[in-house]
Amino acid sequence: MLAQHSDEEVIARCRAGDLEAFGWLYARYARQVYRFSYHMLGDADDADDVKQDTFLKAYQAMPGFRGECSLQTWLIKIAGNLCRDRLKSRARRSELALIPEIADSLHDTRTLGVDPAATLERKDLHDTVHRVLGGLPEPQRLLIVLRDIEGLNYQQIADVLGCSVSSVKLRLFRARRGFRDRIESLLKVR
Amino acid sequence: MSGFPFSACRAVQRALWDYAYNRLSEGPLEMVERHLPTCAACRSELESVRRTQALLAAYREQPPPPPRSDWEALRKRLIEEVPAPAAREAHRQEPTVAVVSVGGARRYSRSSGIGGWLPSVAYSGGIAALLVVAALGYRLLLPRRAAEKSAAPSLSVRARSGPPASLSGNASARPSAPTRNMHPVAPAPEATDAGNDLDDYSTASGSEANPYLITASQSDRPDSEQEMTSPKVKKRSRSSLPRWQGRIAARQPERLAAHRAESAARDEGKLHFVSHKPQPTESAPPRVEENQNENLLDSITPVSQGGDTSERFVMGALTPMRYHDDSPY
Repeated sequence: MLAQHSDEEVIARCRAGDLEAFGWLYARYARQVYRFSYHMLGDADDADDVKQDTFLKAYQAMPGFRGECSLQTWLIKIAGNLCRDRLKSRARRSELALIPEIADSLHDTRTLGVDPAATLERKDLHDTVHRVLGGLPEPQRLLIVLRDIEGLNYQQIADVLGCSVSSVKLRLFRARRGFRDRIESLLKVR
Repeated sequence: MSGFPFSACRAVQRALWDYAYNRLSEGPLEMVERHLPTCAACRSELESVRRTQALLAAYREQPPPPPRSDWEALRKRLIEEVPAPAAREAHRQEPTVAVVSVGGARRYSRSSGIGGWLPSVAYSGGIAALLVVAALGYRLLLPRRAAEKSAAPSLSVRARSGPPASLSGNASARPSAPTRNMHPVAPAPEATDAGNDLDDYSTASGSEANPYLITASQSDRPDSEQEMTSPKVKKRSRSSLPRWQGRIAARQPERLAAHRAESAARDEGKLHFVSHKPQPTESAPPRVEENQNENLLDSITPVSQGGDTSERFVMGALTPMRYHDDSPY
């Protein structure tokens, strides 16, 4: 029933304390928030925690949501902030050791064959790219996840980051170049 | 591959990602397609971009681990941790109410409706009312002050030397106080002395420096003038005196008048009274009755006089007042 209503109508009901309406928002956007968080954090459990915290904060801040951006962008923005906090706490605890993991994956892929694409597909390509993503600086990772994985357009990314579209394009170009250089260096080693 | 030797290559390489995705508009697309056949580096770059995009596409197709279905857990947290929207609204309104009750100057942007701006309007109205009351009060006080000024004795003393030694040990060393002459005195023919440092004292505290001036002038005034001087004005004039002199002026006007006459007679030529108002014709100095002032004069007999300084007691005062030789006293 709620699926027929627009986000604005559901948001109005959420502001009035309608948990059923908020449950509909959760069902609609939770998967995207989780996927984004997973790509950012590289851990399913952390992504689940961030997803739940994101909706908790969204429900608390719903009266202050002014509709200047889409609800999807707003939720991604909240999730991005929570991911950033979690990454910082990880860095403080020195739990993020993705570079050695990438080196391990390089060591493993040396014996897998000549065709890098086929080898990567056979040997858990998903995990390798995920680790390369995890080795990127957080701002670059955020841009690649938002644009090339989640498929947000430039304006939505600009809303999330709070910058201009041209700035998004320039930053995205640098982030892609960094990501590609890492992947290329990995393939060359093999 | 990593460097951008030419600006054209740089522009093309920035557009290669979208070119590989077939998202370029006509202008950039034409630029890229015109450049690629002529630049091997950019073609190599395009191949690298396509490989990376293939990796990302493969990555995107692989779904992440399924999320937990934790709506019930979230619902429980929402009920436990987040207050009801009505309570949240009341909580958000609290600071506004508190601030307005104290000062009313601040207004939160979140508060909307008439409750948001009405306290500010009331506050501004209160400020405006206070300003109006202050202005009206000032206007009402102006005539009264003018009356007080007109009722104040318009006498000043021109003297050759500085203030009494009791105020400053050395008159020449006294810093020049700002002149607060409420009644500018035109130089009288007999009061053209060069040094008039005492003006600061005789006018600023015209009545502060010498109580004789007030009592004498008021006593010399006609009755009609004295009636114009309200008791409040008299009290104010007296209150501007030093305490010990004010007590004398209030309790022993006859003694003051008698002493003034005595000292005027003794220091004739040194004390000049200058008045703005035409003096009554040949107003006789206050009569000094010897029998009345005998006891009084006994009590204020000068201790010593002569040399550079003269020293004598002012009536009723325990502190001797020292004057320079050229003092009008």
